[in-house]
Amino acid sequence: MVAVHLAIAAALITAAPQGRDSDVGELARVLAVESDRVRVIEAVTPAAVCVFSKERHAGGGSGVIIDPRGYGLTNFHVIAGMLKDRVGDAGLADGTLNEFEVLGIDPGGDVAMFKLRGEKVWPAASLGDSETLRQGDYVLALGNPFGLADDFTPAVTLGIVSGLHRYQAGVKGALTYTDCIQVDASINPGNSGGPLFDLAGRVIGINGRIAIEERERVNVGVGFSISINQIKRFIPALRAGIATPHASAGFTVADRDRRVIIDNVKDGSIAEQAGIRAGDELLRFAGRDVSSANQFLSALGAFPGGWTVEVVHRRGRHVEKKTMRLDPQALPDFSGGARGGKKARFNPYAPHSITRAANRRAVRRAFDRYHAFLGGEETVAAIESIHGTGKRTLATDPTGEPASVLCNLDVAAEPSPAKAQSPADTELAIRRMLLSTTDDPARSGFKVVGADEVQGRIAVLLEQNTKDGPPLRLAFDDEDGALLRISFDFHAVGKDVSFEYGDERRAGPLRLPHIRRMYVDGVLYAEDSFERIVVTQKAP
Amino acid sequence: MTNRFAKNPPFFPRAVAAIAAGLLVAGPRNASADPAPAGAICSVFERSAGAVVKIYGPRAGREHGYGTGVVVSSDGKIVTTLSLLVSMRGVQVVLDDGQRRNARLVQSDEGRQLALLQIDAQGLDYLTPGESAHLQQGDTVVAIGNWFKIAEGDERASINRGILSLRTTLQAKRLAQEFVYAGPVLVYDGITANPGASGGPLLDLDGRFVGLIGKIAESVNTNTRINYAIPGEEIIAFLGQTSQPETSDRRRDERPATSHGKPYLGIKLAGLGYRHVSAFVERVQPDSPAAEAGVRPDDLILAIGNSRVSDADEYQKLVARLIPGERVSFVVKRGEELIALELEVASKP
Repeated sequence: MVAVHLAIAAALITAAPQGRDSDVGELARVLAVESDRVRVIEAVTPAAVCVFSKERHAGGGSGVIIDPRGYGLTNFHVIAGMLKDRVGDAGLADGTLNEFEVLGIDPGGDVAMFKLRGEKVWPAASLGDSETLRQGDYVLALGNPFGLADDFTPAVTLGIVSGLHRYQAGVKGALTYTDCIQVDASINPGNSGGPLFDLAGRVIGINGRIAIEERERVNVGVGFSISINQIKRFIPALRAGIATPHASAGFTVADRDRRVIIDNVKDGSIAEQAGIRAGDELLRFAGRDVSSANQFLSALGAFPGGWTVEVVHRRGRHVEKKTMRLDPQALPDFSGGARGGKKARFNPYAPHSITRAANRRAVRRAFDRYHAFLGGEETVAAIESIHGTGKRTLATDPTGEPASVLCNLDVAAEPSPAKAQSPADTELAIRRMLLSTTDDPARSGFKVVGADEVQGRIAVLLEQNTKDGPPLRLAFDDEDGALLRISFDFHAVGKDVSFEYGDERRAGPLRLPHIRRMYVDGVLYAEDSFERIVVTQKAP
Repeated sequence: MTNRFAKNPPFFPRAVAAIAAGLLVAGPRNASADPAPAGAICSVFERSAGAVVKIYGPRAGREHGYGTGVVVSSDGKIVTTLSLLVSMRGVQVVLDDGQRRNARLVQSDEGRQLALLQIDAQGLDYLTPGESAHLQQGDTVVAIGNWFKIAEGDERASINRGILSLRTTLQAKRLAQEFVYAGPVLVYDGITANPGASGGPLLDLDGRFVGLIGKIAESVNTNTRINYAIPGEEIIAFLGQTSQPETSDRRRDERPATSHGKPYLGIKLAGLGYRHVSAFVERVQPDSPAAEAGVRPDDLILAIGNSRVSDADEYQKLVARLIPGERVSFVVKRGEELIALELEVASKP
């Protein structure tokens, strides 16, 4: 028992505020971080839009412009009510209301593309790489939560990446969030379709969904954003007005003891043809290790139908690797439902004048961008000939002495691919035709049919069906416009022939591929490596 | 600001690129700065997530059949919040790498609402609870947990960010029930009051494990959920209850769970019928810890441990957090004299 002085006791029990080193340098750093962030927000704000239907300006969603020509992304569920007329309004941060057309839709993945009307240069955001995100990275969500933005200036919410590669099941094959980004940035009704940015101001996702279990329809710290890398695989088709299905693997899996077992293989599916059997263990899918059924669904859902992926599976002690082109899933059926009634059922997938026009525009865009990649319209128009000399290595004899190879592309020569006598002639004829800067008749009839991946690059796929000529398929890099692949059935021998290109470098006034690979029925036949390419231009 | 780009749209992409480049260059410079240090939260997550486990158990009534826990020793001790989930048989734990283990409850503390589980494992990643006293209002904190059981198997738990809003005690209710935890809490503005979050770690930007996400609770005043954590000091005290040197008894893990009764001192305070009444002692039970320490009627209790006692309410809350067996200091005022006493807390008979 000890008596102490009152003042001492008071000091003991009243904890003094803990001092912290008020480091001026640290404060400066904090302020620098904040002003960097404000500058990014200022830069990206003009690209974020408020999306409204024509009928009701209450409610609505958000979107983001990703191309100066006015192409933009939003959620399918935001524009689902506009599919009859395929028009809506976008409010920009400058306060203007602009009409847009609804182009392609991805109902399975809850994505849609719109294009603003009007031939002006629109403020556009650039796309990032969502594969580089880490849990804990800061992100910014822009959009119009609760329809607050009367003047269309988007609201900004800051958060972090809470989770990656999340799988959130959808409804009847629609609105499934696969491989998505979970964020704690506050996303609320009205934010749907708006962009998620990294702190460098690049779009890394489209916000569209929140978890609200037990609560009101407001954010409770869990939002989901569709990853931009998934969307990039759909963009070429969406731009062309195509309703794009997701991929089906042709098999289902089940979790067994921390292993993923293929439990059912669909008859006639690509998986069955590839030799995958029920009971096999799935090890890797599309370059990703798979340790749960969830992870498989997440990886699969990120691909459109027709995409080529690698599947690694094990049967007994035997590990096999298969490369297979995924089947398309059926598009979600919206015709049924309780509200169908006696009314004529509306088919959102029926062709529309707007989507047809979008497809023609997408074809022109692909050719224009190809010419821009080569060196510009004027330069391409001035080409007389391209002569390449190099070496050919045969796939059947990879160690043998390479033979010399020539590529003589004479623009004035006979330009019809239909009349070519060999696959090599056909290839040259097609490349000549692609160099034409006037509307070459051989170039009519092309349609954008979708997207594909060629040597790791996302490509827009064009197809031409003619009655007497061979059906032609072209793949251009969707980002830089380069020609990546030409494929056709060579009717004389009934073979599927394709040429792939790479190693684009400067050759005189042009940027041209220096590698060419020829495939016959999907099997590599020869690789040509050009050492010297001489471009001759017409005399002015 | 927003019109600038609309008027000069061709410069827009260049402006973005320039800022992007600026940021990348600025990255390392900001590495230590609060509030948005590039990668600081990523680094906290990378260092901590390996010790966060998903807990699954039977569903019971409105209790969710899942939660979160934190590994606190390499040999499989897991701290989490005390709930029906961990009190029942058949509790399973999924480690960060996806391995599944049966867990049993080895220690619980009703007052602190904390539980300790044991699984059979060695060489685990673990976190050591630290004090939260250094945290200031406005400091960034992050919470890791498997709310809504979004993550499955070896998928990593979720992480949310917030700032420390205040340190307080709660006037709360849990569903329609009483909220039994009377101790201090850390309240933050990140959202964690969701099913499955409780039992996950709250960390500061240096990766210190400063608190444990509490069970869903609603403010009695606003009926809104509170996002809070039980401070690290409470976890340290809770784990300290078993920190006696371990015996060589190989069957020690098979002992029944230790459970602590309610703390008992033998003091009855004077009640004057209204709320904010000073903590005057009215009666001291003979042979009680208070009697042994020399507490007398009419003493005014000023402090328990390091906490000031401003009224009888606060006294009750502080006493509720005491652990039977621990020694605690009291400061009382008797007449004009201040007297320091030490009491050994007993269990309620």
